[in-house]
Amino acid sequence: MQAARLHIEALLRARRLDRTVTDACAPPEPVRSVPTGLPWLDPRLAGGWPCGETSEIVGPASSGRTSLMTASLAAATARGDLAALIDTHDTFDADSAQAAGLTLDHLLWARGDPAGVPRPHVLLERAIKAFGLVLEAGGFAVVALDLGDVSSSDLARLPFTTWRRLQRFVEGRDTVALVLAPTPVARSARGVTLELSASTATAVWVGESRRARRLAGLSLSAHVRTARRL
Amino acid sequence: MFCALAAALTALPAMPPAANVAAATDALAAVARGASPRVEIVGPGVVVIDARGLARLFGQDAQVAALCRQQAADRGVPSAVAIAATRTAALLVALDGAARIASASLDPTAPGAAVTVPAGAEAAALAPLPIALIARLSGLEAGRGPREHGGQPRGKTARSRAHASAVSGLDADVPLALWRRWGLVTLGALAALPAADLFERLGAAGLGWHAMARGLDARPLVPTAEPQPFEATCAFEWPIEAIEPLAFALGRVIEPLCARLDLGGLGTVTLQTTLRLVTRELYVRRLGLPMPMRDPRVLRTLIVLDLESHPPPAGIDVLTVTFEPVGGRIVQPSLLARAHPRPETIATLTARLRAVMGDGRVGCPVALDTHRGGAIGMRPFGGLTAGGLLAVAETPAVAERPAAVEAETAAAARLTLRRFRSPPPVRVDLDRGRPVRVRSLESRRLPRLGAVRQAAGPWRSSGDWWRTGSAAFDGDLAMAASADGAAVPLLRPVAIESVWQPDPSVWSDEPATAWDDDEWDVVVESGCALRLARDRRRDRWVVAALID
Repeated sequence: MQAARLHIEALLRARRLDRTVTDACAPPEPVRSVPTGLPWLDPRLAGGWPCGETSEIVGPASSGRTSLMTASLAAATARGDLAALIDTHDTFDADSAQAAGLTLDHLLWARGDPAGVPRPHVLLERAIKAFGLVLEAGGFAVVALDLGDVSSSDLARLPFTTWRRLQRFVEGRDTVALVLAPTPVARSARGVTLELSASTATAVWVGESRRARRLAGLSLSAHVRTARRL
Repeated sequence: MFCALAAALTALPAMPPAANVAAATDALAAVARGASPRVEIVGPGVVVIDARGLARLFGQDAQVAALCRQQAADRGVPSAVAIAATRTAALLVALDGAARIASASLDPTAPGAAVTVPAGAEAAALAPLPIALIARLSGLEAGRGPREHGGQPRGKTARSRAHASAVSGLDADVPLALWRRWGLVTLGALAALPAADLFERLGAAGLGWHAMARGLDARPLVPTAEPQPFEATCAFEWPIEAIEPLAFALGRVIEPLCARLDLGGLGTVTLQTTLRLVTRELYVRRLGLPMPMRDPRVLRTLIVLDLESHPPPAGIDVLTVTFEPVGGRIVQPSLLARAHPRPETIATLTARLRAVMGDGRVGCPVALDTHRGGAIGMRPFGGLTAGGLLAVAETPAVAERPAAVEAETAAAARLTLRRFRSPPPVRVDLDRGRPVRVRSLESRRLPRLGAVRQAAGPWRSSGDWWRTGSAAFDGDLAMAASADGAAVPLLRPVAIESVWQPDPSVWSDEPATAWDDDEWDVVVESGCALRLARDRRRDRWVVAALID
């Protein structure tokens, strides 16, 4: 019985599948983390986004997911690293990203063309292919894939092997693969899922009088989901 | 023996100076290479030949000089030719002759324009020449060509110029005014001074000038390599219809070229692929590279990706690849900074991404110099420069900043927008000028929105109404008054090119039409925070951005 178990574990280890099954047996490898750019969030993630893993930011519109993704990209560029953004629906705003501290010169931006592509799944396939190319090339500290405007049904149609294949590109590298999506789809075994929620109370308003009132930002409320010990 | 050819530049026909000098230098170089393979282009319009062994081919030295002068004249370049046992003596005599031809005191066809200095008589031949020739020759040797004749000499690298200057010690400015005060007018007067005293007063450069005045060489002749085109061609027995078999042929064509680049320490910044098609047409693709490269696999991949994105319309008969060589890239990586992708990797990656996402969809975002909401441009992504790496290594960590500053930064960073490049229209109900309900008119793009819970605004934004070519607002039918006072409709304005970013490497698809909007930030009952924009001219509401 013991010999059979060891044999199965050896086979899993040879195919690099041991992390999901035999974590309790094998000593956990130390995971290098990259700051998210939001100091209050990093302690909750044991230092930040885990390198060599696929993590995701999940939430509805106006939940602060784009702010969080932009903060992570900005933190990477502030350290002098390169970052990449695969912008599926071409929604990136340079002014607000620059105000968030993102160094635009260090950002590789691949923008989809929703007006030129009639079918949404083609747009999605191109974005995922571009995401894989950047991860495969290496050298980027954070590579973000923005699927925030893709419907959950389109995401559900993707083969489950897609994310596994992408995870293989980033394994063992000092790169964070970050996916922004409306629903959880892509987290790897030791990655992190940050679930954000939106409500009318999320908006932060400043200014006393009606004329001086303005929207200052969104307060993030995040729920962390991960399989690893934080 | 050395044969020097110097063009009388001011005697040439009236042409733009740079083209004039370049053409004269090319003509003299062609004449020189017809006589000997060892040719040095000393500077603009000045060439030296190693004339040893030419007697068996062209006759005695005087005949060689006459032949060179005649061939230069046949090419339309009046020039002076001098043959001497030392390179310096030949150059000085030729420069003197060229100056006399230019000042019309010497006929270019006269025997005096082709001079032969007997061996051992260099000092005597140079003695009556004006001392200003030293300044002219020193400038050429140090790579300081006359400013009015186009600057740097052609065909010489900075390294060889620096080496020449270091050897001859002639990089210092020639003190012609000082020599004039000393009463020195000719080279012979300078050569007659004691070398030790000259060294005491002028340093090592003084010794160099002294030797030059006596016709002694400070360095040997350094032949200038003849520029060879980096071009290779492959003709196919059968036309190639697909890109994949073409990739194999590309490898055979590119690898020898890259080997030549490697030998010369060069790289290429431009790739030109010329395909002769079965329709007898030429299909040319030209790729610019961000850095000099010479890796054959990278270059082949870039060409293949480009041809996959822009396939030729017919089968290929002949393939030609041309490189534009420049100096190789020398990089000193930092041990302290993180390793970044090489330029070759970035070039390949962006080419692959372009093939997937489309032309003009991959690059580096640029914030344009305008107040138009969401205006954005792109420029080629080049990664990080070496200077950037060093600067980054000295940047303090973000976590070391004071907590108050950090909190403020975090709060400011939270207002991030998701722009709609084609804004979805909405219907907005107003109450005393303030939005109270927003209804989506495109339910596929925007879900149910509902009543407005909180709102702030309006903020007015307008611009580009002053620009020629954007006189009217897009979608309007502008009216103008005719001579008899009747209103005449103007043509619908056409969007002109983006003019907000002066950098030519930046491209943008933002139209430069006028806009005049009122913007509101609202939070609706579904929880969405939106930036609404009302076009004041057309009274039309759109969602400009989603606050996320």
